[in-house]
Amino acid sequence: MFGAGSAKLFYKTKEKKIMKKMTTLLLTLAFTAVGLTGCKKGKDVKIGILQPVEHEALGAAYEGFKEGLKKQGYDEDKVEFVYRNGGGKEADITSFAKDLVSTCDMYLGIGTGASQALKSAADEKGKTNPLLFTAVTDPVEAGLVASLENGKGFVTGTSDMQPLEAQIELIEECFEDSEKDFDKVGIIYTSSEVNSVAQADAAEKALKAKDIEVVRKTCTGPSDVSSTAMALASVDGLDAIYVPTDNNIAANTDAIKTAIRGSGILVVTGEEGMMKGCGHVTLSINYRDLGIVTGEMAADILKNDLIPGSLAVKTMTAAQCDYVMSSKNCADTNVTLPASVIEKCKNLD
Amino acid sequence: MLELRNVTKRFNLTGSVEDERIALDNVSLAIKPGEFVTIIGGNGSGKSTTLNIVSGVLTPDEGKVLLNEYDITKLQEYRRAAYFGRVFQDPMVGTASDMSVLENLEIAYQRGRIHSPFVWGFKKADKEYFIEELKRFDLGLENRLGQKVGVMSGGQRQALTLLMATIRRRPTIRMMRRDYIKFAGLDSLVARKEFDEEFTRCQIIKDEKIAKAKTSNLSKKEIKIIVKEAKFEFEQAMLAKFDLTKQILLLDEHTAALDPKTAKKVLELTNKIVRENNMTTLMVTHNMKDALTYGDRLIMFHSGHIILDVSGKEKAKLKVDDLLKMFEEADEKLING
Amino acid sequence: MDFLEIVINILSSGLPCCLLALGIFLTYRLLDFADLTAEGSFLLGAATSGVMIYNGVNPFIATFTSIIVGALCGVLTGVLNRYLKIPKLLSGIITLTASASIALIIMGTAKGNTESIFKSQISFGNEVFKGSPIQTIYSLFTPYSYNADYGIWQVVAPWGELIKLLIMFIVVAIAMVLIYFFFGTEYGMAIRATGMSEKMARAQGINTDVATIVCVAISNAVIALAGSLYVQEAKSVSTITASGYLVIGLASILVGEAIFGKRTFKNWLISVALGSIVYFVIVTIAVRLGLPTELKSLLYAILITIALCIPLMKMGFKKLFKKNKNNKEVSKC
Repeated sequence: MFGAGSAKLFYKTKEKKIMKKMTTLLLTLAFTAVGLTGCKKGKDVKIGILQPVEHEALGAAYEGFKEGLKKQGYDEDKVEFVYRNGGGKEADITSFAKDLVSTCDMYLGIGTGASQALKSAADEKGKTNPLLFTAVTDPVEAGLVASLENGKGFVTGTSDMQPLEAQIELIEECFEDSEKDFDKVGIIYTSSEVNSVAQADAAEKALKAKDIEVVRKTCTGPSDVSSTAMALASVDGLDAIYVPTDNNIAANTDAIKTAIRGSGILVVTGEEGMMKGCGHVTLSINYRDLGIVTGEMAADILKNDLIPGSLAVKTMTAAQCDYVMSSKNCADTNVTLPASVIEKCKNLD
Repeated sequence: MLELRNVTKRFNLTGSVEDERIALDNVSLAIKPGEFVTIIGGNGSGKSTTLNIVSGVLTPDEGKVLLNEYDITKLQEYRRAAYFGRVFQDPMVGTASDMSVLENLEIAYQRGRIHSPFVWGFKKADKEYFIEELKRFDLGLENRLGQKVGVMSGGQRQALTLLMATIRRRPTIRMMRRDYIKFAGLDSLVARKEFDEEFTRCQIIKDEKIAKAKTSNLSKKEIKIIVKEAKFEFEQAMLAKFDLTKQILLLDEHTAALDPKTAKKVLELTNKIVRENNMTTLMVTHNMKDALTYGDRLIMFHSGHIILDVSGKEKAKLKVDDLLKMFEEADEKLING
Repeated sequence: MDFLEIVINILSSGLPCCLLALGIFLTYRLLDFADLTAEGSFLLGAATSGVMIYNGVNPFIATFTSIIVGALCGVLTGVLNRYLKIPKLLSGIITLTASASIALIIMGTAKGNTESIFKSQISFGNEVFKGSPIQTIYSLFTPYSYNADYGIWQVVAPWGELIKLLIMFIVVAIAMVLIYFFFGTEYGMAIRATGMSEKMARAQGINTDVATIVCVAISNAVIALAGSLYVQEAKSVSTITASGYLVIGLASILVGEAIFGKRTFKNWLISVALGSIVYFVIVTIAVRLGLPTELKSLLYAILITIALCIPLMKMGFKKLFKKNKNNKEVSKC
């Protein structure tokens, strides 16, 4: 007969053994499952897409990318698209990047963060599969390519740098018929965003070339967009405000709208999404078209087995962009656009 | 030795003057070293408040707390811990549930000393000492040193808390010197001189003994034993003269949450420890019979005043009925103004 | 080869998270303090290391500095809670909120940043190669080879990644050993006692205010170290770097405890660290099996619930087992 003490001991070790066996079994199953799931055969090419966050423009770029490939003959039969969305969490973006780099033949990064994560993962793993990016404003600054003309690397793509010169000309056109002197333009942006600083510099250069005075005001975060906008709006004799594509301001466009109410100042934004929030008119990149161009580049690389670096980074020309206006914003803030401008614009409202 | 002088404590939960409750009203109490005092009283009479003020959890609004004539009123609770051992009413509070018996005892042993982040918490020599002490409890705890305290019964935990409240690592010479200067009640220079003189005297005795042993014809082993003995005697002599802050035990209704059988066991244990070590003890209890059975002196609180203070023969004569009568009389007085 | 890659990916995301889970564990389990500073100290650790490495500082110094920065965060939270009597949860939130701005200022010290004192993103991925002034603690030991076709320095695969994992593992192991020994010292035990019963700790002469602050400081220092390991692997840091990590840390702790138990302190530490790896295994399986990424949050929630129910399931299992054993004994008689 077992004594109570030794029975307990026996029961404990047996239970321990079973627990150990179960855990090892579970883990082996887990790893096998993980391994097996990677083995889907059948399609020619596997393309991984990494989108950092849910966003209308970025999603449109993805759709355009698929369309661009389809147009060149790479449709869903030939290509397996592996889509991952990071949901705004960098932890997920980096782990998905690693996952995609390990398993795909080619990858697309939508936006600067996602593209950098993919390139970093590819570098770490010593892979040189083609890496394409889209919707990256300054790929050189982001460290993706050495120059816009590119070179030998395995990275190329499309930049969503807006046609600044043409946008400045649009501002000019808005004041062509007016009696007022058009001589002062304000620029508002967030100082910590590198892309915004670059755009502000370029815009200032273009404006100064036309003998227009420039007033720059910067904000540092979501809390002072409002105060900066009001400070800018109250500048004497300000005719218009240019708002470059800036993530911080894009999230706080209401502040600008409130600031300019009643002042009659024209607001031209860098792209369509921001314009919906606070702008009157813009010459905007269509992200879907941008995606299509990227898709075509991808197809080119696949078809002709090119080194991606040999393709220069493409940007959208003014001709490829759309004129867009918001009549609601114009009505709300008492701004009228000249007929010539309204004619060529697509009205969002 | 331990004294409360004109202590008043008010409680004000809501902040308005009408809701103010006076827990202790100008209470003065002096306790001699080695006295075993039992404290009784109704709810809100001020007995727990007294213990909390003595141990430093609460600060009195007026009055002083003195230990050997030294004012400890403003001293923080954890700084006073070296001089007081406490057992709480709730068995769960006195010990750390997720830590083993051994770990709890190690922490208690270190009470009042610096807890160093560079010294390993478990010491072999201590373990043997703990086993010895636990054996005297006769609860089987000495076999469960590695067990987590959380699985033990309330009675066992209270017994453990009791042990933790009574053990304390012997103070170092430096600590004794510092305490003596603080607590001897003398001018600091005088105290310092006295201590240093005694220290040198004892040290000379020790050195003489060691020298004698080394020059004699005894074996190396025997010399080692004599040296050890001499050092031990030296320490004991210093402690006997200078460890003024002999443990004071504060027991706050420590058997209230236990069943009658376990409560009796714990009380007998308490009595045994207190008598053996001649500890100064303040025991707050709800049970009038226990208050009379144990202890040398009995104090009854009512509405923040001491209404009864008996010791020795007088206390032995009292019965529970007498106490109840006194309690009712005090109540009536309060109601009738 | 694919299988090895998957394991490498899981470990390279999971090992920094082991440290994160350990750090959160130190306050959440030992002090019963749900410390929300975690995301703040992770971000500051990543930002500090990131900007220092970007500026060409020795990566070991950069990693060490991030530990100090994390400890300071912890001290702030502790002081707010203990000396200003602000409730635990709010103290953590205050430090977390402040850290967002502080991270911007820290990143603003990057070389070449002259426009403003803030900078919202740093990336140095393509500047790390053999002989470059910018090195991470992994790249110092990684073998590189020059790829003439593409004109770039490349990591020799798979050694680069394996060495990186080895270094991460060493850092995690050292941290765990240090934590284990610290909490076995007199002061470490004092801290644990403070977490279990503050009344008892004070009665035993422990300054619970200081003990709490020290524990929170150590916890956040470890979390910041996790951030530093992460940034040296991802080679970029921005204001959204830390988002979502608190949930990952808590999930790791719960899953680890549920599967591997917490019988002794050593066992507990290892469970928490392994929990982090298990967590990433589960998420990787789920995503590979086709879980749409939008449902990931739902997956976390389900996972945490299951983890919390495993002790119940274990008990049910035990009951079943006991019944069988009793039958056996009866038959023997």
